[in-house]
Amino acid sequence: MADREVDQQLVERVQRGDKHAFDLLVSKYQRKLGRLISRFVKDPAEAEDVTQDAFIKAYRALPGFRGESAFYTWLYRIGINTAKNHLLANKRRPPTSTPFDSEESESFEEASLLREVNTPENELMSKQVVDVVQTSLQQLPEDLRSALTLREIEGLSYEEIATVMNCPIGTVRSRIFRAREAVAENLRPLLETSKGNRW
Amino acid sequence: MRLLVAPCGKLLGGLLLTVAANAYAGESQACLDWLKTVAFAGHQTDYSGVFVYQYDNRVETSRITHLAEEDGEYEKIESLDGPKREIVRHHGQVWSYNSHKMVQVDSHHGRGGFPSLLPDQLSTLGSNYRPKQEGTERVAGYDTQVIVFQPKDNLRYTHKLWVHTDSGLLLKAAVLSDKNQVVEQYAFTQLQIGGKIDRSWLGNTASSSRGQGSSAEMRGSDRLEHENATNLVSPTNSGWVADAIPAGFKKTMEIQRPMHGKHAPVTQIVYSDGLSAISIFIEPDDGDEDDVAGLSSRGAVNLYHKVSNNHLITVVGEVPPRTVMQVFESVRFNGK
Amino acid sequence: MKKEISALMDGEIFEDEAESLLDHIGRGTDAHKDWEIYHLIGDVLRQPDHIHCDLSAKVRERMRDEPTVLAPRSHTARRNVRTVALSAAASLAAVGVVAWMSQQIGSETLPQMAMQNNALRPVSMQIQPKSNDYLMAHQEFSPSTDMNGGASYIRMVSYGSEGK
Repeated sequence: MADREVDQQLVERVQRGDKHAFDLLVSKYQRKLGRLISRFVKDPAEAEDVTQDAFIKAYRALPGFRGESAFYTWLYRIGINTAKNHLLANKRRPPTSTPFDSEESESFEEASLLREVNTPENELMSKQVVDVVQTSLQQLPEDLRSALTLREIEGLSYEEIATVMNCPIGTVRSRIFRAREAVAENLRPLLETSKGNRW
Repeated sequence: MRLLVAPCGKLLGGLLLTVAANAYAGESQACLDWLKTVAFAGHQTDYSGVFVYQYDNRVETSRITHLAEEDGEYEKIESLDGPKREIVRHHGQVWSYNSHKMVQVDSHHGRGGFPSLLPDQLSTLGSNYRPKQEGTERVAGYDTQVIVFQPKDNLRYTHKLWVHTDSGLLLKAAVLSDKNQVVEQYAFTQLQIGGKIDRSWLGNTASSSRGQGSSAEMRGSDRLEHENATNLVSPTNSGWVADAIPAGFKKTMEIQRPMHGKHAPVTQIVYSDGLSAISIFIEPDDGDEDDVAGLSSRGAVNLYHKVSNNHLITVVGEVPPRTVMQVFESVRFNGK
Repeated sequence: MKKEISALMDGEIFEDEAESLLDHIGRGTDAHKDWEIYHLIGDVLRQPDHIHCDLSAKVRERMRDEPTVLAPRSHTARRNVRTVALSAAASLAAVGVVAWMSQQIGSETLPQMAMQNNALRPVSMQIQPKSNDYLMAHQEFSPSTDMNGGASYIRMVSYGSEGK
């Protein structure tokens, strides 16, 4: 989809020496990669370390990335290899069944197993973040909520959303932005306080 | 010599194409035949089993019992986890367990039996889905044939079915999005087909269809509501149209019907493509504060509703959110 | 700049606009924080079963020790990011993209999964009990009922007994 083009653009910037562009990719994929690695590495602190390792490995390997596959597909493979190598180095066996053919989604079963991986304080934070996002979503005017849903959950492009909602693309762009910003406003205080605390 | 080669090559190419097309057509037909078998078997077979239904953030384990009796089909679904919930269906009527008794919650306005897949609905299936057989698998200890209906557009979901090769019963079914995410899934974990199945619960439903006296379980006021309901449902030409119905969806129903909690009858128009359906409900806006406007979902079902031109329009269907929204946007009155 | 960040992350701006915008999303700027928080929101919407993490700072620290990587500049034609998005949309709408399923759904079901959360969709987007009647009225005429028998009614049951 269209945001893969953004990834490609960011990758090329990194390849030209812009380290900060890599930060943006990390921000974008840290949770997704973290979830993936957590399927292999159960201890939360360990999983976090391994995820960091995977990102560093990806950064080092980036000169060799030529855009033949999507960036996340490539990152996903690095993630799995890093996780597996970590387990082997610690004399642990990677799970025998690897139903991770699709980097896009988890099965019902996997999703529930992942809940075990949270630390208690992180679990509280996670829950608070989810609550704030869901409440904010509910409070949004219907057209903003629909536009954001079609974009983030259904993955439609602005043009497709414009067709679905029978409105100009500019309106789609505006609705999505306003929806995001409304939710962000509620999230920022929560994230600020947490930053003040420990991490 | 060259003259011979050229037509040969073309002929072979043409033959291969025809063979491939026939193979495709053959597989397609096989899948459609399985679908017909599923519908038929579901109505005709006595069975009782436990199944797990997964959708959104819920996992429900339930028992379902289906009996094909002389006076029609009886079906009971009871929850096996959480608070006691039970539904009984017979002869177009639906009862739900509520406050320690069975209360009627819906009426099928007298249509005998359950709707069945119409032949012409099945014929359009092939134009909108790519049917494919995907081998066999074991479900609940039985052998099943796996068939997949992949949509040709992104206005509908993928349907994957696991059909018991002996009885034709549907033992497992999944609905998937275009990103391969399981939107909802249902599967038997235990199943008894035929044989001795408990029939003691059959007496708990209204006997109005049997022409006997009222069952002790059904309250008098519910019976009256039911009879009124049957009389008030009528086919209609409402004058409402939806321009953006996806290809292959045919109108199967257009009725005026009462609905629980509504003061006036509601227009319902139903379209089906053989695997999924879209209902459009149109009713006058009674000014009730509508705090559920917009998009909502449950498993494979998406619902979109909003007040538009003094009417409350609701679109519901086993299709992706974009489709219910698109259909909604195109609903308009075309009558006098 | 928030508006532009929102469009940028969706790939809905032209490449040269994107380039100049990226030049301005420096370390620690508000623009960077917006990028982070907007992506967080998307992740939570897609994964209500959210596991919070904040690795960026740590990764950044470790990268300080990394030599800057460089790759030979490839002579790809300058892409118009927006055009790509538009043409993708056009082809999807007209023909449809067929992705063969490789997804393996677990072959046997897991009764022990009952009562555990397998969130796939935010609760705020769930069909409310108020709308149950539409669902039931629709269910009567749906082929899914025909195929699943009454199993689809189990959806009704879980909400039907509440608030009635």
